[in-house]
Amino acid sequence: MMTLESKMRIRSPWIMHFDTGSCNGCDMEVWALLTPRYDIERFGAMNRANPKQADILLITGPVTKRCEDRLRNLYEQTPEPKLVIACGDCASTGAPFHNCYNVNGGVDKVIPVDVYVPGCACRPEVLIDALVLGLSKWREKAAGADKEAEG
Amino acid sequence: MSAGELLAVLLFLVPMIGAVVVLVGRSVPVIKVTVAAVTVVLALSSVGLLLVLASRSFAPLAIEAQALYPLSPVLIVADLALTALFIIIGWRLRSMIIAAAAALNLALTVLLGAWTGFSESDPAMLIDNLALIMALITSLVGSVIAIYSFRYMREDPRQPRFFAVTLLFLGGMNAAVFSNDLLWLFLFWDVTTLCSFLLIAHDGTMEARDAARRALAITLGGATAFIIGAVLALEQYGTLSISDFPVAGLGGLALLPLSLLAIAAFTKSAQLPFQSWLLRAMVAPTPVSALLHSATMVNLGVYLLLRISPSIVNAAAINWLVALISGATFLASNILAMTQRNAKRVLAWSTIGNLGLVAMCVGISTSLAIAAGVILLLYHSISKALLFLSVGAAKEGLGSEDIEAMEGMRAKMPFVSAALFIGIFTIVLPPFGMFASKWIISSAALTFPLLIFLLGVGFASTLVYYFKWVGNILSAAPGSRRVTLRADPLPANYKWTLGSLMGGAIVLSALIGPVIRYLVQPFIDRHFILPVGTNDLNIFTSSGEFPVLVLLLLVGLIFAGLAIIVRPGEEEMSKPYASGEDFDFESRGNYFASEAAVMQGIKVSEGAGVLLVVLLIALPIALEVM
Amino acid sequence: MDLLAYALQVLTVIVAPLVVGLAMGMDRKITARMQNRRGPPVLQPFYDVGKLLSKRPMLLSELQATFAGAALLFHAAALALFVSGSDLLVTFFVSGTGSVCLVMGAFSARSPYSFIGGQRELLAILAYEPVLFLVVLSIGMRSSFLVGDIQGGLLHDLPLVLLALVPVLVVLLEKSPFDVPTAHQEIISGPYVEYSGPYLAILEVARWFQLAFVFGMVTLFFWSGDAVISIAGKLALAFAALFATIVIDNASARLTRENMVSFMLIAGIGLVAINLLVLFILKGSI
Repeated sequence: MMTLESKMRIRSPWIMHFDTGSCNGCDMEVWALLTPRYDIERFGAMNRANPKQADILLITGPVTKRCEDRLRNLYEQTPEPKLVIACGDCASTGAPFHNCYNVNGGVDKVIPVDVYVPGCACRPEVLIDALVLGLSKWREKAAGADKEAEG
Repeated sequence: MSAGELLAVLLFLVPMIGAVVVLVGRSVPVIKVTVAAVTVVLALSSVGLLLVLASRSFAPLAIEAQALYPLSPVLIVADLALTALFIIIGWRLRSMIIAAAAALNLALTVLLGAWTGFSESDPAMLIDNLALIMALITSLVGSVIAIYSFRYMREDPRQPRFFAVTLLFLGGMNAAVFSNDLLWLFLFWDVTTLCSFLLIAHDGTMEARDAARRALAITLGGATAFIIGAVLALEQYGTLSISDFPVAGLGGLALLPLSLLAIAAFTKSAQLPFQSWLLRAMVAPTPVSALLHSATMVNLGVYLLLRISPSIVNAAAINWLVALISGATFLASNILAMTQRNAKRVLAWSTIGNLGLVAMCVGISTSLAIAAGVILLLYHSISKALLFLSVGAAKEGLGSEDIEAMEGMRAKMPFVSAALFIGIFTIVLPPFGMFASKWIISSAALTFPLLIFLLGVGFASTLVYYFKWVGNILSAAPGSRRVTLRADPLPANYKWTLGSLMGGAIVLSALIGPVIRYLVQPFIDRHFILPVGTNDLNIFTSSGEFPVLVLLLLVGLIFAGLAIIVRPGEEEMSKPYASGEDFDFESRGNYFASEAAVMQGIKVSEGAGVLLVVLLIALPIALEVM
Repeated sequence: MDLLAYALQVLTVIVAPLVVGLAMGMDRKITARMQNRRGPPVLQPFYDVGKLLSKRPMLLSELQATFAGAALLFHAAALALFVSGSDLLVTFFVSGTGSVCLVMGAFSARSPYSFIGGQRELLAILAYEPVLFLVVLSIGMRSSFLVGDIQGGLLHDLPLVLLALVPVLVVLLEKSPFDVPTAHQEIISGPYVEYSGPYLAILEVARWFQLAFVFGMVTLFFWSGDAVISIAGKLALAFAALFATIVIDNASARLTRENMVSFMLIAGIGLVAINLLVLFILKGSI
């Protein structure tokens, strides 16, 4: 049995999108999530543009060195429990910017990432999939916690 | 001499004697001892007077001129001497207006004296509950301000002059509110004019002199209106005794004395279009501002209006104009206060607005409104004194009176911040005293629907400019080093004076039921039937009910409870959100209007004020002609 | 009987904000449908509050929490006063104190967006408070300020006053064109920006209480002797007001601060003034 708490958490994932030096391709796809075609509000998701009120960080771009501190700041300002989704190839691995002198090459070099979304640019359907995957991780975690409590 | 008479005489004579002692003594210890002794006498006598009146179940205490025998001839001489002094001051300031007004005043005073054969109307002094309330404000709040000045003025080279004038001011104010004879009232009216002139000019800078000159010109002009009004009153009503003014059947030229006295009141209370002197007077040291705004001076104007309110109430058209002038003042001053960045100027506009509200209550002319006016006057004095003195203490710590300089002050100066918060909360928020009177005014204004539109916008503007200020004080950087309230290094003098005003404001708010029943109601009952009821816990009007104590308890419980419950741990603290950046900011602006726009706003409202004041004089004449 | 009425009042104070929460869910659903989206479930506001309560608390200053709690308690007290039939004017001012607490909470966290949000929230108060004040006074002008004594005839006598309440509701519901203080694209939800987790939930519930009071004022305009008709009519009227704000929200873009204040003051005060004037001419007295 899931607790009421985690049920509510899964039904209300508020997102924040942050661009760490992306070419804006992925950013457009992230914004497409809000349009009538994809409408992620039907999952209860809302774009808050504020880490303090967000549950899920959607990060695009390969994380330039200038961006690193900002990204870390935003991550620290997001209260637990939180999820980080690296959107697109750049955010996942650095992709074409791999080994560039001015980028870190992937979000996971700076903050822990829960879900990687492939694609250049990533497609909105896949982003929704990633969101659901991330939420199911929470569900599993909650179930695991329940089992532990039972055991 | 009965106990009541003795106390009344003590209340105005002792400060005057104290003033002379201070001038003669000159050394700081002598000043301190004298002022302290006078404040003790003032506090005890005013409370004693309250008890004496209470023992007579608040029947007014009349004092015949004979009972004060050696005094009355002295006063006549003083009256003439003072008016002559104004001519000399006008001459020395090279101001023809001041000299001419003073000369006219002298001539008319002599004329009045000759007319009445230099004998006072009876009773020469009348101490009813209104006078008692005023005397309590002057004596208690004034004393606190005087004691505060020990510390604030400690490095001033002209201390003897300052304290002598302050004491004279308090004495003159007390005497003025006791006077029933118009000539006596005129004398003490002029005493307060002189004292304000001297205090505003205290710093001796060009700016201060200019401001003092402006104040003298306007208030002396008001005094001229006053004395012409007195002459006309003697001619029309056949008496100089305010308590004998006819209360009904006034029409035509018989309205003119009321118009002129109202104009005199407007100059004293800095209503439009006479407000400029009070704003310029902000150059004076802070205790002077506190004195002018809360304990003395501006209160005298609305006091006069309240005093002649029984006549004004039945003088149709005059009361409408009074309501319109003061209503316009209330609206304009509250809007203009939003555009100010200097804390003292914000407070000055706010004072003008609140006095406008009191005057408006007289204009609304229902007993409910007048009761609200008296309550407002009482509570406003305490809160305003608290705010001014806090600004003074803040200035010592910060070196500035600007609202922006107070950014994050709660972390550095918690005591002063708390004092400012309590001052502002007691002015604006329910269920404190001023709020109660605003609540009554709101329902009273229903008889004059035009005014409710002014009230609505005015009240909301009040919220904006006070909470913009509160916001600046609150805005302390997270993680900055905090000074605890107990460890605040504020001088003990300030802690005690501010603390006593804070306590007074809150305790009096809780006691508003008894205050209405024992202090306000007896005054109103003399002339009207008061439809405000109270069972000490709630206030009722015919159309509503205000559970004061329940709400006060609620507020207390909310904040005390939250202070105990809310104990966020260190781990809960985070950094402010600034799009991932670490940066601090400076707050600037948010004053909504350019300086030019403000000047234009002042001009427009002054123009409207001039128009209405001219109408106020022209109307009785027009009525007479028709 | 007396006890029953008392219990009913307590129940109303508890249920009314929940109804408002439900209405907020309907609001989001209707808005989504108007934009050709499916929208969140109707119970979404409750999920949101539940989730927020479970998040880790995070603050800049302990005063933030104090003022959030104070806002909630003041708004709740206003609603309780309203439901128990007390003075409408006092209720209005107590509710106003709640709004001021939100502003102070925003200021007590030193953060650029929060600071701007606080300033803008003050301007919003300047815009809607006078109109709300005039609405309260024109209701009280008829006979009494006691909510318990207000019966019927309001809709007939004061239709424009009811109309003046609609823009007030637009501001309070933080909707376009008057969502100036909480403009989420520009200043990231303004006064709420430094609130998160449980403290944001407290503020959200406080807003429900506040809206319950203002919608309560809307319901005063309908009254009937029959309890069932009365309640149905009141709910219908409140829903109509909500629907009007949703339509306005979806059909307009955000105005500037100056536009908001001048429009609210001119239109709101104008509507009330015209209404009172017409009433005065028709009836000879107010």
